Amino acid sequence: MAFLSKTDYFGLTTIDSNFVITSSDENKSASTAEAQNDKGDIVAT
Amino acid sequence: MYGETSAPTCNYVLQGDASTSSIEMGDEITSGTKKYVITSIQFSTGAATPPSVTVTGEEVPSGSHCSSDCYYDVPSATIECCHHAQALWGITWTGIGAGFYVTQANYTVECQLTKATKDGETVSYDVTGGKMTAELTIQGTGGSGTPSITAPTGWIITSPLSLSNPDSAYETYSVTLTKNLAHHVTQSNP
Repeated sequence: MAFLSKTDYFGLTTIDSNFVITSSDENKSASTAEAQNDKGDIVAT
Repeated sequence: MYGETSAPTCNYVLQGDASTSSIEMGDEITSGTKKYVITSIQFSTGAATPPSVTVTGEEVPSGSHCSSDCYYDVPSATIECCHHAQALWGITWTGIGAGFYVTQANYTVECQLTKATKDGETVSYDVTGGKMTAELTIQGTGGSGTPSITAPTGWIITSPLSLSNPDSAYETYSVTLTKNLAHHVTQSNP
């Protein structure tokens, strides 16, 4: 079984080598502009 | 679509004693081609549990920090790799009382990311509201009385001692202490 690679986004392993990264998650997100009609239906994105 | 960003989380364990003295919350950290800011660090220590660290943050555009002097220093402490509940940053429980034991001590250092945006995209950011929180879990052994926790200088008890399982033979208490952090800032109009 292979272990997934991890990304040290915050560089703690370089701040102190005794911090050992075990997992990471990027959690990407974005916002969407939406317009609604009189019934609340989304009519434009 | 606008404001695309990432808010990563990293989990760490300790392979030896580790120092917090070089960690800054607010400064840009480079990972690959992107920049990130730490907004929360949780140090979890407990009896019979290896210490662990969870760090969360958010992506920021390169060079968008409003001032390189605006950040929070994580106060200095050494997290030992022993699998014990650890007394850090002045928190102590030597006077807790006979028959009571701290079995879990979790510490969080956090701040809020504030952003100036144009067309939904961040053009400048700062950090604010820096604080530390200590959450202690106290195990009783069926004796009389209640445990005693005193807030050290700079800390206040924000959630008083509470008994979570009064119907149990061996009771458990919890208490939360908070300390506000001061900005590391050297500019002339802070």
